Amino acid sequence: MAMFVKLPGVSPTTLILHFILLLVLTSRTKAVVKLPPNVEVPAVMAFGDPIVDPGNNNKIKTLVKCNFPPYGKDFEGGNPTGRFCNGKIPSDLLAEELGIKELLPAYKQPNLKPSDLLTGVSFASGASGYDPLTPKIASVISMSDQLDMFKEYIGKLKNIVGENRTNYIIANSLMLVVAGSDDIANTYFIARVRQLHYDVPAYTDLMVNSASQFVKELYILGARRIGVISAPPIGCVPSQRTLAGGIHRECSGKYNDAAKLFNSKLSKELDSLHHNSPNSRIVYIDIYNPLLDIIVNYQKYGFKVADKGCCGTGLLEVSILCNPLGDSCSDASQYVFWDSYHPTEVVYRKLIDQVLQKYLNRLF
Amino acid sequence: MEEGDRRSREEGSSRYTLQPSRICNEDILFCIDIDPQSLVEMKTATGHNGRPLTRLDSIKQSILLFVHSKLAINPDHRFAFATLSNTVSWLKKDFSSDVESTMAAMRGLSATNISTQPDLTNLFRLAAHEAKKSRAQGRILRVILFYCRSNVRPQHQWPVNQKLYTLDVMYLHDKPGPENCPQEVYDTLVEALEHVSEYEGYILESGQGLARVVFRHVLILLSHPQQRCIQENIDIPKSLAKKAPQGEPMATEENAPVSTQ
Repeated sequence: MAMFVKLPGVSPTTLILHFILLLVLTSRTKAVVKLPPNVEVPAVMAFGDPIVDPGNNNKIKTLVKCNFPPYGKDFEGGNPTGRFCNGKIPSDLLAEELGIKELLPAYKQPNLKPSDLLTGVSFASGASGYDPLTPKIASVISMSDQLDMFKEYIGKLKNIVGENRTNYIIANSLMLVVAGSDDIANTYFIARVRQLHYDVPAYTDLMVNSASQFVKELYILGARRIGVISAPPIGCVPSQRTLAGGIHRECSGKYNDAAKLFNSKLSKELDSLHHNSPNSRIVYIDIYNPLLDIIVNYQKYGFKVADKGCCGTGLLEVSILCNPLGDSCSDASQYVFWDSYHPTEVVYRKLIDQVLQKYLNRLF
Repeated sequence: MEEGDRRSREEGSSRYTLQPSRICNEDILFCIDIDPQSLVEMKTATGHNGRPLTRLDSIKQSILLFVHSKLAINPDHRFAFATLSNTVSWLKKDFSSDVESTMAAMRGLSATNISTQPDLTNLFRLAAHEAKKSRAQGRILRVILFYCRSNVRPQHQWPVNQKLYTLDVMYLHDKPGPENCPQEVYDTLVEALEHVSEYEGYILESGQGLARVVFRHVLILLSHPQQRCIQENIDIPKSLAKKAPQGEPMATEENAPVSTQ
């Protein structure tokens, strides 16, 4: 029992709990990527929008849910967990590739175990965004609320493993931030609620300022490895082709231009933050170009359909419109998009492979 | 002097006080036309099996969207379902707040293969009966009728002359032609709506065959009968439409905004 010497006045129950946690920490998933020597990534935390939301929206009063079939069609034998996908989402795949665990659970998931908390959770919420108005429109969890949840999480971590270990976990874990597409598509172009006061350059400034503030807050809370994902080619997702791509449903140039403008500003801002934040690894991660390449050259990547989702007609269905009443395609792996807004697991896997190859050394 | 000022201030403030009113939970009865014309194909939409999306498919999806949305606003609203062929029959009689029961009702909904003269008399009779039951529970009844026929005006008699519920209509039709009389059908539906509606009833129509237009119209029907404006005031005034930013046309049926999330 020498291992417990440094825990004076601790009850036997707590000692047993610590012992269980120690066992859990040693039984990790086998890492697929090779990390640099002496680098440990104890956990992955995800923030942002539906791309990394594993079900935080399930229990809140919003229309933006997907905890029903056909979502999760290829997930653990057809289990709709609240992931906006047919299978795993990028946060799961990153945790898996880094050898941490198979799935990254939602922070709001009931019955989370201490071991789940120690190896990371996702705070993300489908339809959220950098613009504070974006989550209000959809009644989802804002980025600032996600930060509050993260603070609460840190408190829970301290209760489980103490302050020192908590600080170590937060500093060495990978923080993944994914947002922006809902701001551009929903708040700016579809709801049009910002267009009277902002043109596209001004609106992308607002988004970048908010993103920058979010990253600074993470840094203040102790995070040091922060990967911020770019906006995707939002004009090429099926729903935006339907709504803004004209009669031939082409990619919408104005949506993509807005995303590119945001990305160029975000990249510069994150570079500046990285240089002005000691011991940090704040990295801009481009997924705009790799995803656009998959969409444009879909056949080269082994896909058969890139302009429609697998769910329903594939033109407009997302969330509650993607439901058992509509037909879904028989094989989602032939599609770039699962519903009219979110890619399939196969696409996410290809993107994560590229991201890790390109950014691994910058993050770790 | 001060007292006079105070009195006039008090009078002024009381003059602008809104009277509190109780907004009742709704019982909403959907009545869906299952005539063969409900199987008319929508534009540009096919399923993965190559089967085109029909009016009935888009009605089912829009009802599901409506129910989810309405329950997100207030989980105490309830829904029941009926069908219209030659007359009105129950599809799911018990009002329920359960999305699963809506889903089950939609799964059980299919079109008939024979076209008949539709009679709405039974709908008005059922609605009047259900409205009294709703009132006894401090609720109000609304009927939302989806009508799909372009060439047949619905018949009806007035079984009850009181205005006990509100009628909304969503009319999906073909373009006018030698075989069709959508304007006459529309006028008949307006007459029925005005005759039975306790509060402001809305009639919305689409002859374009775009599913997203149906969704957008159905979302207008989310407005509570006790809180809604008159229908003429729904449309964006022309003066405001002119102020839309350059290169951003206002929402028309062709570029109707539908949330992507």
